[in-house]
Amino acid sequence: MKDYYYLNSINNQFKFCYYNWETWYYTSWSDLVSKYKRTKLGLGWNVLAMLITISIMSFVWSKIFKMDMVVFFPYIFNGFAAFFFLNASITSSCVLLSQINKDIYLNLPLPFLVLILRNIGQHFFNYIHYLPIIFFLHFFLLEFSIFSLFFYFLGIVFLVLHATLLSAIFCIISTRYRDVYPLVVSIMSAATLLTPIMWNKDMLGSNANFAYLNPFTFIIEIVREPILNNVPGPSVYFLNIIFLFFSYLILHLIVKYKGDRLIYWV
Amino acid sequence: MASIKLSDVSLKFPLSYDARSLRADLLTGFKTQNKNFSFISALQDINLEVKDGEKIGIVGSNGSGKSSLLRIISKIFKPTEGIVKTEGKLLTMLDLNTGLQMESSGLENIYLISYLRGYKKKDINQFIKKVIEYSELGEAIYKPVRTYSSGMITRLSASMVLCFPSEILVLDEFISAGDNDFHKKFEKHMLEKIEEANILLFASHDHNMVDNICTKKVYMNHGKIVRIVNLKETF
Repeated sequence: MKDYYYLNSINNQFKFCYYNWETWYYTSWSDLVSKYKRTKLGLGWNVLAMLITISIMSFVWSKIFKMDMVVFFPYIFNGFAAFFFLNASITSSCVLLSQINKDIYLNLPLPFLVLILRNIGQHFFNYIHYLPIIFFLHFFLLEFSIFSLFFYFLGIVFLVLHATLLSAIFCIISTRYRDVYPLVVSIMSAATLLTPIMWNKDMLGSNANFAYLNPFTFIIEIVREPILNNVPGPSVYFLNIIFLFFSYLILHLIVKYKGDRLIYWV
Repeated sequence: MASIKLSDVSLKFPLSYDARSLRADLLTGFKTQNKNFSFISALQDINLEVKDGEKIGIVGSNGSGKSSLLRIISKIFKPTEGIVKTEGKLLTMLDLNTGLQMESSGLENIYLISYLRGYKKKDINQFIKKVIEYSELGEAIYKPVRTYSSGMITRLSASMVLCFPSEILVLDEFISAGDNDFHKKFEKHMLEKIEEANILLFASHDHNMVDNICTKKVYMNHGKIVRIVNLKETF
C-alpha cells in the first residue's frame, strides 16, 4: 500500500475497495445477520413488514385514486423497495463516521469508502430479500419479458451507484456539519411524499415533467418501470447519467481537497 | 526488510470550540477560518528512522504525542508537513476491541475483525485454529460475544493480535490481558510475537516494560522527540 495514496483520491479509494472487496462485502453481510440474530423470522421480518405496509397502503390508495389494485400494488411495492434502500443508505451514512463506525475509522487505516460500501452492502442485502416478491409480481401479474428484466438489473446498477455516491457525499458533509443529519432526515421524509411512489406523475397532467425536478423521480423510475414492463425512455437514462456524473464530480472534489481532514472531524 | 522513516513530520489538529456553521462556510466560500476555530500542534518536526530488527519504546506523559505518532505511522493520520515512509506489513493495535460485534459469535468476530484488517479468507483460514486455541474459549467461541465476560472478550481480541501475521507491530499501551493464568500465557506469547516482529513500536507509560523489551527508548514531550536512548544492541 503506498503511503496515504487513497486519502485525497476517490478513484484510489474505489480501487482499494475493488481489490479488497472482502473487507466490506463480508462485514456488511455480518452486520445485517447480527441485526436479526435474536428473531425467529430473521430477515423475513423485513419482507413481511414491507408486504403488510404496502398491502394496506395500496388498498387504501387504490380506492382513493380509483385504480386497479393489481396494477397499483406492484407499482407501489417496487417504488418503495427502491426508495427504502436509498433512504436507509443515505440517512445512515450521515452518522456512519461520527457514531456507527467511529472506533473503526479512528483506529484502523481504512479508506472511508470501505465503511460506506459496508453500509450500502447491508441495505442492498436487505433489498435483495424483496426480489422474490418483485419477481412473483412480475411473473404472475404481468407478462414475463427478458427484455424488461435486463433493464431492471441495469436499473439496480444505477440505483446502487446513486446510493454509493450520495451516501459518500452526505457522510462527509454531515461529519463536518452535525446539523446536516437532521436536515437530511427531514428532506428524505418529505421526499417520500414528493416522489411519485404512492402516486403517479401522470396525475400531474401537463405538469408531469416537473416531477423530474426531484432527482428521486428519475432514480426510482429507472428501477421500477422496467419490472412493470414499461422501459423508461432515453431521457430518464440521460438524467441518471448526468446526475451520477455531477455526484461523482462533487465527491471527487470534496475528497481531493478535504479527504485527509475527514478524520479530524469525526 | 521492514523499515520506517519519518522526515520533518508535523501534525496540527483542528480544535473546534463550537458547532461549525455550514451557512457561514458557504457564504465565505470555505476560505476563511471561523474565529472560534484553532489548531493544536500534536507533533512538531519529528525525525525518526527505524531499521529492521529494532524495537522502539515511546514514552512520555499524557498528551505528549505518542498516540498521534503511532497513528501517523499507521497511516490513519496524514502529516500536515513532512514525509513518512514505511516498508512492511503493518499491524496496528491502538484499541483492543475495535470493530467487535456483540450479537455475533466469537468465531464470526474473528472473521469480521480479520476482514477489517485487510486479511483474505484464505489467510484467515490459516490462523483461525490458532486464535481459537490461544483464546481457550472452548465452546463459548460459538456463542454471541454479548454473553462473554470482559475477561473473555479480552482473551478473544488478544488472541487475534497474537495470530495476525505482520512485519511491523504498532502497540499502544497494550501488552498484557485477561485473568492471571491467561495473563502469563499471553505475555509469554506476546513477547515471542514481539521478538518475531521485524519492527516494534510500543507506546507506554511503563518504563520497566519498555526497558525489557525494546532496543531503543524515545522520549516525547509536547509533540517533540526530546531524547532517544539506545537500550540494547540490535543485530
